Amino acid sequence: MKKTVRWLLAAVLFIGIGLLLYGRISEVLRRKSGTESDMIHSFYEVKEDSLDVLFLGSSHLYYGIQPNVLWREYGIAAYDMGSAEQTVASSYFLLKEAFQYQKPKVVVLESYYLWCPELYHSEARLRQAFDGMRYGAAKREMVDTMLPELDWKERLTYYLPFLKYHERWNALEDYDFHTKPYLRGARIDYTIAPLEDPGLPTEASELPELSLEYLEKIKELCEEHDAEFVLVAIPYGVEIDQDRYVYQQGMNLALETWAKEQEIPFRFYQKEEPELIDFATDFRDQTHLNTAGAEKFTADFGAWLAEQYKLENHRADEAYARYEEDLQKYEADAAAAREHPVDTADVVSGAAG
Amino acid sequence: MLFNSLEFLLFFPAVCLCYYVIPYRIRYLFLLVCSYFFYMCWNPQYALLMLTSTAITYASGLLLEKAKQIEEEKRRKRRMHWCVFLSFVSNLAILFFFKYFDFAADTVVRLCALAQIEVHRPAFDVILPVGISFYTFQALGYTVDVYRGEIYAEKNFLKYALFVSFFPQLVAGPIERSKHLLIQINEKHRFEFERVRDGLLLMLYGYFQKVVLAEYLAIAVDNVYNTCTERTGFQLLIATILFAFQIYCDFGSYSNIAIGAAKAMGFTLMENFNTPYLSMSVAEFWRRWHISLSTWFRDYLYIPLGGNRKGKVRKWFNLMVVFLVSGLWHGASWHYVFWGGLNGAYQVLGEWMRPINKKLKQWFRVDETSFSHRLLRILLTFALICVSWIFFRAGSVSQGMDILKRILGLSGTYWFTWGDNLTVMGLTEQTKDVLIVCLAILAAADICKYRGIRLIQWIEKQGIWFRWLIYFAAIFGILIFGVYGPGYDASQFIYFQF
Repeated sequence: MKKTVRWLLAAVLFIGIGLLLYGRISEVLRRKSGTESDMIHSFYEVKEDSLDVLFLGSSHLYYGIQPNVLWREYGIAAYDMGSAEQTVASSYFLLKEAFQYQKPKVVVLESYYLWCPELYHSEARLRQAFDGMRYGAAKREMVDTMLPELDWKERLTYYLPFLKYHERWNALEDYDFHTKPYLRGARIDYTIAPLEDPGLPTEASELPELSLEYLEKIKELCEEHDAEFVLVAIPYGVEIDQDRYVYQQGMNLALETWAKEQEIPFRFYQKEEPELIDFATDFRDQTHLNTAGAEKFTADFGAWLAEQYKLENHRADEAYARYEEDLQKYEADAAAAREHPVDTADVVSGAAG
Repeated sequence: MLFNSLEFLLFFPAVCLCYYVIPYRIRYLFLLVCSYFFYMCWNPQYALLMLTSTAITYASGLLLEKAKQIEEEKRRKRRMHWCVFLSFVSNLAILFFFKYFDFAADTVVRLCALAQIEVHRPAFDVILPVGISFYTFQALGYTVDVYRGEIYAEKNFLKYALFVSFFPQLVAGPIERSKHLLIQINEKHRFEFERVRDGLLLMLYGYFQKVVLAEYLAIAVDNVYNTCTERTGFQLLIATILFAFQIYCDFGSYSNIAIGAAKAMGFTLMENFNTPYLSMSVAEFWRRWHISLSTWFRDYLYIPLGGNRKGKVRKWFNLMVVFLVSGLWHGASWHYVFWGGLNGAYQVLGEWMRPINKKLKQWFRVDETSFSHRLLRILLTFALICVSWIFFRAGSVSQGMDILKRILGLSGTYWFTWGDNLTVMGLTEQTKDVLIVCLAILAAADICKYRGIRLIQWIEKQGIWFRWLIYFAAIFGILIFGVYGPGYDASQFIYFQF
């Protein structure tokens, strides 16, 4: 009997240590969304129920909004829950997950990826959005809704990303071991890609039905959780060709009408404040703001958010000490990045998202 | 259900746990259901084939027992011979139909074409039933064992069905003997921690051999062999040596996982591979390689043919028959037959040259116990086996000949070119490093076993921190470096930096 108890204890301890090791190794090997930023997974490091504003959206978001600047300027606790090519459907499931940990007063969705008529654009991008998400009801619902055609083994790789990424042992980078949750989901990049202001079209394009469906779902979800739902369009230039640009900006014009009908605030910056962003200096590539542009944009949008939703300045609150520490680290990283900006030629290509 | 599939990793622990929880008297029924489920995961219809083989050999056993009661010797023998004959003919007919029909028909068509006779062979498109060669031989072995009186016929059909279908060794051996496995089905296996642990460790080693080593080796081997006409002799030589290890790890791993899985449930299966590449002669190699098959052929073919009891020439003939049949057993193609024939020929030639060999040794005063002499014999045996593997791996005998010519530098093309030979073979710097470390582990494990050091027992004697360190290193080494899981195209992740 004594022997059996000893063996059982040993087995439990062995499995326990094994699971701990598995958890750590799996985390290191998992592909990080946005390299060191690891934006979806780093979200879990935010102190529970501390967020004022939660941002959702694609790469336009995490290059365009710097939560640390919102903290520095207005004491707003914010996080960018962005991922490359994040569709509105993805944003919806990410928001569902976020509400389990946070009670943000405001939820902001960046509008660029509304153009996408599909649930997701590619497997890689879907994984980028959901590999970092913890296993739970939101993830199960996401897999059931977005990937009903997959067999159970393929589905399992979304719950256990290790099955997919164990082969990354020969491709690990420094950031796989040391992610930077203090970036709060944003990315720093001071590269300057001089652009010309492309102006705005006058005719609206048609918003995909799927995007509208999920916009309404997000609106309902926000209402359920007493959060204000806000839409924003961060400025961008011509990426592929003028026709596509006109088509995509036309979506924002259509969104304006829809938002007005739904009584949802929509900040269409390129239309409302065309002089805020300087196309000659504030972009890192054709479509993404660089960090200098992001600081400007964030400061302006933050002022509006603070005033509109009466957001309290928490900078003096000791419960938010972590935000202050994160800001220091952000400032240090930003200063270093200003001195060593990334070579433009490397980043301009393949800037979709 | 493959051993290295996710399904098996869920199936096996569940079966193992249930096996120890349920009452003794229904355990064999439970294992039988699990074994058929395991088999039917591939193709449910083919379970009927296995059931047919089982029914025929079961009936042959009962009829043989009945025939043994006949007092008149002549009648008794005749009846017994008929039982064995019918069991063999019906089972081999099934095997022939499903495994060799296309091969035989193609051969007939080709022979007819040589004689300028046009023959249209019937189209027969059938998938080879998994494990048919293994369970057919196991079942036929039972018939002979009952005939020889080495075992009483099993009365309980379901117990006998479990003997034929026992899932750990069903599809890739070891090919068990009734006098060894069948009697274990009646034993009461209590849960013993040490035995379960030993079984799991052996399985772990098997997974290391399969998921890491065999899979990495396959990359290089497939890369070279699939484009063998563009390869230098040097690359083909390396690929052939790597193939020798690949096939060892592939086959050996399945046996180790099977033996380990059976052990965890209290069953003992026979050893199937015993450091084959440390053999000092081809004959010794065959005593260490796929032992369950070699001994099956010895017991049920070589000895009935007369073995070595009817003179040298007859012995050589018997050897050649056994190895040609063994070649055919491995695959329905002439290059397997050639491979088998080559292995038989090595042994016949070895015996024929023995007096000359002896003279040469006396002449050069060779100390047979010296390390250098033993090493030379090991290397020579390995070289001979590698030559035979060329024909096993090649698509045809002529392709094998072409590869052999290239390796020997007789093809008129470059034997060696400077350059990154490893990358050309499909290996990266990192995978090469992993491969070298893993091959070193394999070699160390085999040398230890050869010298009588039982590594698993040695590990179990160590302190807990050391043991667990090894266990975790092994588990996570396999999980990280193994080749498994749904494959994906890494190129689709190039734009991850945004």
